Amino acid sequence: MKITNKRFTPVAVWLFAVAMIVVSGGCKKYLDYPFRNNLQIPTDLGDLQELLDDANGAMNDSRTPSFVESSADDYFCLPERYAALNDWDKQAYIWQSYDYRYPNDWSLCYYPIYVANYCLETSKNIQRTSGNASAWDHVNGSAYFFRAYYFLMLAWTYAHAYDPASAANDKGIVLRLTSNYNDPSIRSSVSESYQQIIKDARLAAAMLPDLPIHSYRPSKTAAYGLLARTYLSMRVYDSAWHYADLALAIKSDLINYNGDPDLGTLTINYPFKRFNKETIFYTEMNITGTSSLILASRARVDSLLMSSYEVNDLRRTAYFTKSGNYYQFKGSYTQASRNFTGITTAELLLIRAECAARNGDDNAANLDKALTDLNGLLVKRYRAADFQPVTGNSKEAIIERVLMERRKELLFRGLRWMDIKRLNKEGRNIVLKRLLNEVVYTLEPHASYYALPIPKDIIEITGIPQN
Amino acid sequence: MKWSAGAISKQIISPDTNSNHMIKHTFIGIICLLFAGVLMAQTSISGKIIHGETKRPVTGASIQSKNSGIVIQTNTEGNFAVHLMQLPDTLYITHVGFSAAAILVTSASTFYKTELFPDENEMEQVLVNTGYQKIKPNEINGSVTVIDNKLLNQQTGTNILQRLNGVTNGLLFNIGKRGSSTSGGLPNDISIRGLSTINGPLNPLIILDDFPYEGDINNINPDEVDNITILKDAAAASIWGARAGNGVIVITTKKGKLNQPLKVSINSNLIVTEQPDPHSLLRTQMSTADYIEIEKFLFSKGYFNTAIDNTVSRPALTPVVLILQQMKTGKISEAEGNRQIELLKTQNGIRQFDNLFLRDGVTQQYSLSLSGGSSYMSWLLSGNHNQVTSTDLSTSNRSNARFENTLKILKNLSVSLGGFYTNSASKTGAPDYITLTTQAGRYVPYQTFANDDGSAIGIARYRKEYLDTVGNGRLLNWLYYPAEDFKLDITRQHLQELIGRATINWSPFKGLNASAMYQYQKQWTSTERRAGEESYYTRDLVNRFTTLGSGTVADVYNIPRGAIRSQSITNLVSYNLRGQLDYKKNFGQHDLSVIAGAELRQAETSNAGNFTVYGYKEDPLSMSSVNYSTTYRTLVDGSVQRIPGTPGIGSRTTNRFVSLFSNALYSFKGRYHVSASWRRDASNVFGANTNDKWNPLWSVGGGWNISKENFYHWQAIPSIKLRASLGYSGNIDLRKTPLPISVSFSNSITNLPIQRINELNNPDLRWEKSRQINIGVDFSTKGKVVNGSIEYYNKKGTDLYGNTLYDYTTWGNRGTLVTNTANMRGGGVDVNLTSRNIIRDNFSWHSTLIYNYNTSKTTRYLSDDAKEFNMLLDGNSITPVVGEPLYSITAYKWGGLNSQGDPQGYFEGQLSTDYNAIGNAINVSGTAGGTLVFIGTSVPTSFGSVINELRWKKLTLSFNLMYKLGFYFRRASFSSGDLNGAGIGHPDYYKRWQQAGDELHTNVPAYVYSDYPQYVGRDGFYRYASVHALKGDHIRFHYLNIAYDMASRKAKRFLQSGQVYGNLANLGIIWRTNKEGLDPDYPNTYAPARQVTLGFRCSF
Repeated sequence: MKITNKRFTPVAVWLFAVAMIVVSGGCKKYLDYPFRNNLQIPTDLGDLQELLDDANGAMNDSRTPSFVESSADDYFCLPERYAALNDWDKQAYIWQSYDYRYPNDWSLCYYPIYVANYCLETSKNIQRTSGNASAWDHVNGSAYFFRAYYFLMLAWTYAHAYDPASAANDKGIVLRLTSNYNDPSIRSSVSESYQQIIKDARLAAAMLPDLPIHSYRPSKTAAYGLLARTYLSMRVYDSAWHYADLALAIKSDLINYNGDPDLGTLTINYPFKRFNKETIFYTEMNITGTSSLILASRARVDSLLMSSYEVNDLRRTAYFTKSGNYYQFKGSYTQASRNFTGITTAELLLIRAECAARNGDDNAANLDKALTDLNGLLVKRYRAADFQPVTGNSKEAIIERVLMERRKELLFRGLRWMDIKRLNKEGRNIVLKRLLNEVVYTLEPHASYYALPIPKDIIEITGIPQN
Repeated sequence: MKWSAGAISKQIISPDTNSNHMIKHTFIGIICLLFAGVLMAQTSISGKIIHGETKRPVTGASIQSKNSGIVIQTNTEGNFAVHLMQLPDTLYITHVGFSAAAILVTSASTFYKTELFPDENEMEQVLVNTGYQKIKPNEINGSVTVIDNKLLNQQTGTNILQRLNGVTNGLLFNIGKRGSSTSGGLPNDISIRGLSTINGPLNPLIILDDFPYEGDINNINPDEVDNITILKDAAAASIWGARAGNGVIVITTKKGKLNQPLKVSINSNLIVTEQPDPHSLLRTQMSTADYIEIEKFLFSKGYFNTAIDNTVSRPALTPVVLILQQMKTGKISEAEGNRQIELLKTQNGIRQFDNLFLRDGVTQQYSLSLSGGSSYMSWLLSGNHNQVTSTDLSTSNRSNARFENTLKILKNLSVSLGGFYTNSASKTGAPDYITLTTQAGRYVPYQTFANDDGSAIGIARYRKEYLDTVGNGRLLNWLYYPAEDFKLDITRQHLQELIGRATINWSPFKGLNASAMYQYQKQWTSTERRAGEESYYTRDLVNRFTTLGSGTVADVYNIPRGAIRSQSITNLVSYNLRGQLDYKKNFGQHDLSVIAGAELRQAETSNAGNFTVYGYKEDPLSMSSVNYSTTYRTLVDGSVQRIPGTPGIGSRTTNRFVSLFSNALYSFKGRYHVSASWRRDASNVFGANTNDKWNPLWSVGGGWNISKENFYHWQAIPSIKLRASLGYSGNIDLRKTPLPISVSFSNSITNLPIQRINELNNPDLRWEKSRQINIGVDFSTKGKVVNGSIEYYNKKGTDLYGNTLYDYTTWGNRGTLVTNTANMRGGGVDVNLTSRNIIRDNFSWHSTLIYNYNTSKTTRYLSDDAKEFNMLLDGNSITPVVGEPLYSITAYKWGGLNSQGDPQGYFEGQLSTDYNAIGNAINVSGTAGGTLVFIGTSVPTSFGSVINELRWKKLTLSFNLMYKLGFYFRRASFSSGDLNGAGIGHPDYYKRWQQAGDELHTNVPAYVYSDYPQYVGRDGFYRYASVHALKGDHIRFHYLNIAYDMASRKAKRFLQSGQVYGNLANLGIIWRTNKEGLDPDYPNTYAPARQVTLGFRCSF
């Protein structure tokens, strides 16, 4: 046995030693080898910028709510098309509440908010130095912008329109400001929701460059545009005018529908170039949720709206194509059937015109400003040969005309629902109607359904109150 | 040289053709040369070994000379002839299951006839290979099943794992079953003793010659396999550590042996597979005329208006809809339209499909193996070739070459080298019936593929009027010709695999063995699609990317003419390094055997990227370039697209493992056995810190040979052993990570680098754990008339991965998070009995019975009472509901049809047709609300097979009946939604409710149009109603095998063994409980086709 042990020991020690070296020293290094060569933990400013640049997967494309568009009145569904819809779309079409779950507008909007929060938290641990200042500002400014942008989309969808009288008590959205999934979700008030949006958007405007290298990226112009949108929907028209004006001071290019490098032949499908010169910030409506209702191949443009386009209005040909006896929409700035929902110079021009007109009481010069903006847009939209500029000196008439042009210019961009809500707040009494198999469904101006139902699973898991 | 010369002289006088005996002559000559050194002048001794009880010859007994060490084996007649250097000598005779014997040889002229007696105390003496060590079966305390070569050969085919079906205790082929939604719904093909995880990986670990095998299982030629060991319980499998939670399949290939004369083995066979019958598909059982009537009805309802009015994407219309639209717009007259439609009603594509796209499948297999060994080396060389033409006209072939060589350098030092090479290629065939008959998203049964003159029929994939006019003839033909296209658009796969291994064994003194093993494996797979210039894919792409000019502007072809070739290559490289110490010692009545070792392992899968070449020409080799970065406005819908096929860079995934392992066996008096094993695994998957990466697993076991006790005197059962084990094995899902991991790539529009977080940081994620207890008894009755084992086991899985619903306001990118949230419990009984029913000189009958009982259920998921009922209706994927089997079928309680022909369910205790309310109720109250009924498990609780082997003289017949009992499956039925939406019919259409009173004798609802208020809900309710859950119990005739032994007295000198065999497989169901005649394993698709095999194998 002694001999055995003597021989046994060196071998065992040798192997044991090798094993230990492998396990302790080399092993850690061996096992720290990345599992995949394209995986990492995003930590530095470069990583964060790359997260924010994920336009297709997280930040811009297929992102903004479709529920607002499918609930609005720019389209209708033919009975045979309606019959083939799933039950959830059928209910949504006639404004009846229905239980729905993940995935949906809620989840799609909160994903970029998570990315923004992650970037804000992570960059807090990175010292802002003279060397990295512009990168640091760009990351933080972008994160603030995205968070504000999608908070606003959520507020338009899931909360009632801002009303200074009740905003402190009206139920707003969940203001998620951290990336920690253990933090509970709580509904803020409408007032708090808009305050947060304005705060974030102002921070973004302060940090971002005037213009982006690509319209997928936020910019100072975009942040001003976002603020103009926000204030318009709050009916704070002087601030809306101010920010629209700031944005347009930087960028005010318009596509001339009479002929333009960013435009193909008007009659073809999708004549507008994607990322064209009017686009200040680019997002697309999501293609899940209720989007099947408003797919261009299914939705037909409201006949009254269609008839409001004059024969010399080039948008008639650029935006629509005949489908059977009705029209379908083909004028999206996505250059595809997906809906464009980003911010454009044309939209800001219409905001500035509307706000100028609304501020026209004590200053007739404001009405002129409104007409200048309106005609500045329409001259690019109507046939140049026989375009007649809009004239007039009645404030109400000018507002009416601007609102009508706003609807005609910006249809299928997720804006109409917000417009109906805010305009009803000032007593315009817009009643929505759907005619279906000889039954008329209506949505009254102050219906609680204007704050659209929150997903059932979110209500179950978080316990937040349903609309 | 005496027998060799004799064999040659026999060949010379045989009436063979000249060339034949020349080859044989040469061949024998080579053998003589090879063994010239071994075969020197000798004395020849002959004899016969017979069974001490039956007096029958004993085949394959080993006879070793004491003086020279040379080993030979008895032939089928029990005869042997051996050449001895000098006399006297002693011959040692050994054979599995017999007590050893010795013969003292003194004279060359004596015929030595010796009897061997069965050793009652020895169970099967084949050593069990766990991949780390070879253990005597009676020392194993865990649960293992060994499938030997003979049993494997009762089935034919090119896939080795398929041969385990029906012959392996505790192993079930899970047909059509998938994992859970979390695990990605991956197929769960083979399960050993049921499940041990809910959302983790499901397939067993496969070991090929001591190392995990990562390549394509089809690379392994079944002829190379000597045996397969299935490690079923924790004591057996835990030595394999973290990936052994689902059991381990250890494949051991044939090896050369020391002191063995040259052995040449040949096997060749031909398998014919019957072509499938499209008439067996349910949709084909509705008449063409009825389909056309449905289309006419839908047209009248305006159902196709959306497609007809769509002038953007210009979708195709089915032929009938096209005719109806032409009639409506007055392009053709009523009479002409009706005439055309009536003509279509008489058409049926099935017969043409049969002729054009289906054949009987043919598989040819050839293999040759040479092996031998001297006193200091052993070697094996083998090669084989397979050629397969499948029923869908796709083809594949595979060639393997292998060598194994062991060299004893010193008495205590040996080196083994081995290499294994595979080269296989495959080519796609014709599309299947359903793909071919789907047009414009609908089933079109009246579609034919060839005209009477044999020319191919073209199908428009966009609106016909558009294709007729667009480009005014400047575009390529835009029709799809199914009968020709599959010959023009072919995807080929080419695979090469190389495995090299080296082992050094050093035994410094008796009892201790140190070994180091290294294996390198590389598998290279190239997938290449070549769409010819005339293929539809190419013509369509070229056309869509044509910019039509007008006036003086010329057309621009943005994609050049010529074939399109796209290729992607994946590589798999793995290496393993293992150091191991084996120590064996006998101290009187104590036997100790210990192994300990460490292992490093890396497996890397990489994608070498993919690239597409346009305008590809082979002769002369040339290509054209395209502009991938520009967007083009495409024809048809005017959408703006890039040319597909932008070169992609590759990615790689690397799994690294470091493991330490040890196993100890201790026996006392050969009666009491104790064993323990321990293993720690670490991998690079679980990021954060190294401590969390380690996962210790262990097992203990004990065995007691009761029959060896002095007090044991039960004559009827002379051998009995009890054993028990307990242990843990793990499960690791390589896709799960606790870190906020982002993936990098670049945005194709902005060209900016981007990252995307795909998994939320989940720091609490741990390894899954599975505990298993096994209690077994092995026994054998007197004379081994019946022997077998009965085992009970119990599995408990904890910390299992589960989908947790969470507040996705946090993140939004997923609806659920994966956490260690679930527990499960499973258990069962495995019984294996072999009986020798009749043993006579010319006739014998053996039977084997395999019986398995297995159940598994979820015991905790999210919380103790959580239910995911909405996912429960399917039965084909794992759905965790606390207290219910992992695979189970739940159904809406059926309330019959009402007087309008609508299906009725129950809502709040009342009959109801409010399907939305019914659908919502199940999520709220589950089975408690009376809306939903739990039907039962959808995997068999009892399964197994009965194998009988009958031998009469040289003819052996074996057949296998497989049974599966105690489970349910769901049948499909008629659905208005499927018929309207996709034209999918069902024979139940003819049993549908049509008028009041029909509800008394049918369960099939009335056909409704989509304007029915809860159209989708109505269909969904009926589809998942309890009337469609049927009992699945059945018995299947799995295979029948006939073999004729050719090794006659005349040929014995030359032919060691020889067999001609025939095999019939997949002979169908011989008994079932369901009255619909459905195959419960394949209720909605083709059952595996019948196969006939003819072949021969021999060795000499």
